[in-house]
Amino acid sequence: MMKKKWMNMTLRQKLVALFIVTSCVIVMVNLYTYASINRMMQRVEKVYISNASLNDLSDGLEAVQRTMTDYLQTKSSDAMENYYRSEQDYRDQLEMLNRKATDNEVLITEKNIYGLSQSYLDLSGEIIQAKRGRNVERYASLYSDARELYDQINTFIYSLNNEQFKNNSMTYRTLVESLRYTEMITVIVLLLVLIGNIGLIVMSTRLITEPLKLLAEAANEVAKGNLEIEQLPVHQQDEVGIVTVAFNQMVTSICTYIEQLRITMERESQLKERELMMQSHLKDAQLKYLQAQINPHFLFNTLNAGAQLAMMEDAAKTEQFLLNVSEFFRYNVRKNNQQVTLGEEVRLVDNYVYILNVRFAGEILFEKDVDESLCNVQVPGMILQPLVENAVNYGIRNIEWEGRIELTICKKDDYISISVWDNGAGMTPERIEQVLSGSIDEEAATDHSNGVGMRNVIERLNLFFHDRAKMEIFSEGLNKGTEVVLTIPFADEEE
Amino acid sequence: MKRKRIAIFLLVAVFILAPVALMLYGRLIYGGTSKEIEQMTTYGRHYVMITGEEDSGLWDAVYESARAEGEKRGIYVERFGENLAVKYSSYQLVKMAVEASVDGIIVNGDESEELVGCIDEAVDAGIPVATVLNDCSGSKRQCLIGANNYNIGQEYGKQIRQILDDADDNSMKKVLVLTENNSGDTSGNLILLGIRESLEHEIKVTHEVSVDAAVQVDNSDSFGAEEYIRDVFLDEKQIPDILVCLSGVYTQCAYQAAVDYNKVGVVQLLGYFDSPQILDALAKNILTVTIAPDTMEMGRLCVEALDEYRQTGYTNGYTAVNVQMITPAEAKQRLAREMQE
Repeated sequence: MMKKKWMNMTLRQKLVALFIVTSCVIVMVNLYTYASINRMMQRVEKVYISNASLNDLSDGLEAVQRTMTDYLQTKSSDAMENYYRSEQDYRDQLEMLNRKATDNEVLITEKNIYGLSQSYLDLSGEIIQAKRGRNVERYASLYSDARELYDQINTFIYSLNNEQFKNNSMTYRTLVESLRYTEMITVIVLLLVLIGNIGLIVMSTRLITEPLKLLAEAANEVAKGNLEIEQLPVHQQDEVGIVTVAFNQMVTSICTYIEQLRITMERESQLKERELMMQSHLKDAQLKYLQAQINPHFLFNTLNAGAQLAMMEDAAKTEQFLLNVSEFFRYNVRKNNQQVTLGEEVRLVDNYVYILNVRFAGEILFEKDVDESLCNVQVPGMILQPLVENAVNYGIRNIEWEGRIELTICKKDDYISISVWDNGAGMTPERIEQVLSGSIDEEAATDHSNGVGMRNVIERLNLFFHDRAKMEIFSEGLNKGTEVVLTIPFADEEE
Repeated sequence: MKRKRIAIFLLVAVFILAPVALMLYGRLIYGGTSKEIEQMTTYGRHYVMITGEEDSGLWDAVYESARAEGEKRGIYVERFGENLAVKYSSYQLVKMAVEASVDGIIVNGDESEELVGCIDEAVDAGIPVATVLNDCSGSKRQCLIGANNYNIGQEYGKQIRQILDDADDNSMKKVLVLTENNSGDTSGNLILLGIRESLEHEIKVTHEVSVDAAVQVDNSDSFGAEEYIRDVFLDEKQIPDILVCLSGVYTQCAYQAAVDYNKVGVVQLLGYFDSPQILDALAKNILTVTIAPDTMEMGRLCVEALDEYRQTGYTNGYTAVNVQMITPAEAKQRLAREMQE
């Protein structure tokens, strides 16, 4: 309960409370010490009071004796009056004495004094009466008795006074001694309380400043750039507690912000990397193409010149052939940039198949089924021709029967399916696996193909379509033909 | 965390313990002086005992016993005049006690007229008086508590006879009896009589004895006794064969003188009272024998007698106190017992 209250206090309240508590303790101890020393002093003052009162008693007795003697000498009414007054005073004083039998020496002596004094007062009364009655003989003899008794009472008082003085001196000595002790004890207690107070202050201020210290250390760490610090504990609801909470939030916010920044940058760099890869693959394809076709410009011009010559000589088939060949080579010259339309790709395949048919005397039966609406779809260049080339080279080149190649381009849902089918040598599943994983692609390509391998086609399609393009190879076995199917997203075109 | 706990504990301890210690200390100081009055007991009656200055050892013992008996009966017995600055004589003290209206007086009597007058005054004032050890026979005192002096004399006589029987020769032996010279005190005379009669009846035939009865120590000043006893030892002609001391102080003086003048064994000392010093001398065989009244009984009987008188109006006029004869062997036993206690 107390602890909770303390935790919820503000810094100012805590310091004030601390000050008040320690001050109160000191003040209380001081007050108590002051009170006890005061009491002690009073007792010291009272020590000899019993001696003083015995002296008074002695004085009172002396007054009775003196006034009685006075009256005996003068018989004046003044003396009479004085006698009765002093007698009454003395009686009053006697009333304060002890009258019981006790084993306390002082008190029993008081009792004796009381008894003797009563006898003395009776005697003095008788003397006064005798004087009044002028009974000279009687009052003279009684007076000597009274005188004797007076001396005896004085001896008693004197002895008691002595005894009391002895006792009182002893008490006084003890008191003075204990006063000295009290002084010492007081100093010790004060010192102890002082030490306690210092301890309390040290502990409380530590309690107050400890979170501040932790906060400062954490802030230093953050300033050095280390954001990987633990959340600071918050036990108290004072100003320091509030600042600590704010600090914790700040560190968390900074961390979140930095993380977001890092993710954004990472994404950007990924994009850049993809572009670079795309370019590098294209360059690779182009290089290989150029290596294969040597100088397309030269060939193209040469072939054009050949076509014009054939036209002048009226050799229409030769002209057609040369035009197709020149068209084929021109494709690469013209399509310097990477993006082409699907229609252009199909025309390149047409050119290629025509050339092959002239070369191999119409051995290849090529059929195509192209959805004309898809002709304007943008695709990376050089994706169809390598497929057809593969179909010719590995599919139908060495077969005994008539070779057929079918190209189908159609739309399926959100995708465009491009299929190149041949009825050639077919492929084993292992072979298909190898081709798709790209492990044998390049070595086999060296001899017969123009060098743009299947693997290259897939990678470029994936880069272009952000991994949404797909290549599949289907074959039912050896000599049962092969179908290569490319699936590319259609929506991209619209975007 | 554990150190912190300890620190907090220590702090609390200091804060709480310091004031508590201070308060306890304060109470210790203030409680000190009021104790005396708290311990005081109040009694119903107040008796006084007046003994005189001599033989304080014996009277201390009697007083202690009387006081103890008084406590049992709700009576405070005061040793009257003991602490006064002026030393009063017994009769003066009796008179003062009467003036102070005490309830009873125990006094070591003598035969002086003053004392008789004072005791009579007390009795007339309705205060019972008991004399103890020594009587004040002419007075109206209610009772005497004391040893039978004649019997004591007989006892001494027996001892003297024993000594004479043990002696080898039958030459004339001199016996000196030191009695107190209290005015008109008969106790010494009674003892003397007891000794004489005892000797005359029994050993007249066999031994020649002179009993110097007349010698009385002049006791008028307090130091005369000692001087007289030294004189006895110094005078070779007068030196007795047997010295009988009839008080504790004489006994002490006599054995000291015997030691100082190398007369131990030469003079046979018969002592009185059984104070530790006398028992010690007896154990060392400086004294032949000592006779002691039973002080415990004496004190007790005083209070008993006064009380009886107060209650019934009557009491025995004389109550005898037992007397014991203590030999060196018994003295040794008693000293050993006291050592153990």
